[in-house]
Amino acid sequence: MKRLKVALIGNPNAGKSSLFNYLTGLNQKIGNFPGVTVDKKTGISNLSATVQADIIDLPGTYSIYPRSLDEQVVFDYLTDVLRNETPDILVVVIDASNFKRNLLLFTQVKDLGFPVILALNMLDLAQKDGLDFDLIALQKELHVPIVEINARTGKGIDSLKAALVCPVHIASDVFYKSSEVAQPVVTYIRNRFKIKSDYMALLLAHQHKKTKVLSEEEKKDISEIVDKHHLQSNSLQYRETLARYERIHTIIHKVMSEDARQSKVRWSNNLDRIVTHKVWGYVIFLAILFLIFQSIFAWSEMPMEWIDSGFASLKGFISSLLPEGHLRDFVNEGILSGLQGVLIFIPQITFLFAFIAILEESGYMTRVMFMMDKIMRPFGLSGRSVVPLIRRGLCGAGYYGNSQHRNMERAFDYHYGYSVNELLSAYPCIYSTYSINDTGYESPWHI
Amino acid sequence: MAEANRTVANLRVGEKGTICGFTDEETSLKLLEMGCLPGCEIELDRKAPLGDPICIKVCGYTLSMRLEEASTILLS
Repeated sequence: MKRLKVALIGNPNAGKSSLFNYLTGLNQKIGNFPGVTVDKKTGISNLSATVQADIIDLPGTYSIYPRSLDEQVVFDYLTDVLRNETPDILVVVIDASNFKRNLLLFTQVKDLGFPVILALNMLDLAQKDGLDFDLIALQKELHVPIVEINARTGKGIDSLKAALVCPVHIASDVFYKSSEVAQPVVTYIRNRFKIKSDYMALLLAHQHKKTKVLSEEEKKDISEIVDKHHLQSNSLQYRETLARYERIHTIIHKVMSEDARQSKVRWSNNLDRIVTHKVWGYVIFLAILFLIFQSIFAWSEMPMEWIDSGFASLKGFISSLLPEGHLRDFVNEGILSGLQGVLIFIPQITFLFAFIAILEESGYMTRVMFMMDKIMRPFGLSGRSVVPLIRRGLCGAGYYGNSQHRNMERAFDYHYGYSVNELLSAYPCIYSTYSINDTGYESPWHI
Repeated sequence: MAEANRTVANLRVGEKGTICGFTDEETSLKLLEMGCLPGCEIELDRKAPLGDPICIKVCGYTLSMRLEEASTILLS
């Protein structure tokens, strides 16, 4: 059986993870990228009867130039081709309702010289916003296979699988040609590392100090040549991004037509006005927290009683079957009591996770980040760190409210540890200037 | 000349401006990637209850940032 290596890449919130879930089903593994606390999700997908694919879901990124830990992971993965085998195909997932900004990353990835497939997601949302695409014209402009998908409903997944099985032709044209100044450096790096694309060499020139792919000696060599030719990394990047957006503008002009329908925007604006209101915003937030606490304790009482009484009658039944002695004690007090101690928390945990999922998926959590950012700042945190704090708070409440159950401790310790990790992993962003995303929303309501 | 130093941080809610430059090189790279391009129209959509961060409309979507970052975006 043939086995392909496929990587999913795209902006945050472009729908990569949903697509990943559709492709891999339950065949997934979650680990960490080496040395960093960034989730690495890999899975296996059956593309056809004879072809399987190892799929990796890369962290969301706006650009190939890394500005955070997550983005560094993406950069390291893509430049790893110097050492290891390359991914066979990169699937760039694009949010059609935010087409212009999403296309930036696409043009960068394409210029690296990988075989690329474009998965165009959220076309339905784009249409609601009054955006219409000419997909045939788009395909002509970008020179890559384009597959229309809906990562929420699973539409188009089969077409994507079919496209992955077909060999992808790598078009030689590039969206951005590195400037004359950089050319000697690019040529040097290309020859030194036997790299196929100019852009990959240019990226290494920009990022050689930060990347893990190069050895110290190689970094020194690149530093020397970069200094010799006086490459100004920042101004080069500035010009590159402008040039790319210029290309994107001409492409968009040809493939997209806009007819401004504002009704949806107005509705979501009113909702925002209420939930981020000076007074009502915080009142609503506290009310929601209260509701969740309430549900964890009050609503789950009844199902917890059912589980309790279920186990009691099961134990009674065992007692009537087995004679008094070690075996009966082992079954009743060992196995059943142990199970009971864990299962009793299923109702609470279900409510807790269901509420957290609703808050995050609806887009409300990003509004909370927006409101809380300034409050968190004196503590050296950003709005984003509110989320793990809420999770941790809720889990902690669940735990203290039930401290008579010792088994609860372990169950919540697991989640607690996970949350603290997440809080710490949110930490490095605070010291970088790039908190632009950490202050909250950039995403529409998903309701 | 006060007009020349107007930044996104000076906008009132609902007010629009056109980006003409940036004062901080590092921040500008990120902002460009997020679609805040010179010549683009930018609108202050709302402020957080405590006045900071703010939420702007640019490039067809809304983006939030701190005042500190907003003050690096020059308007014409």
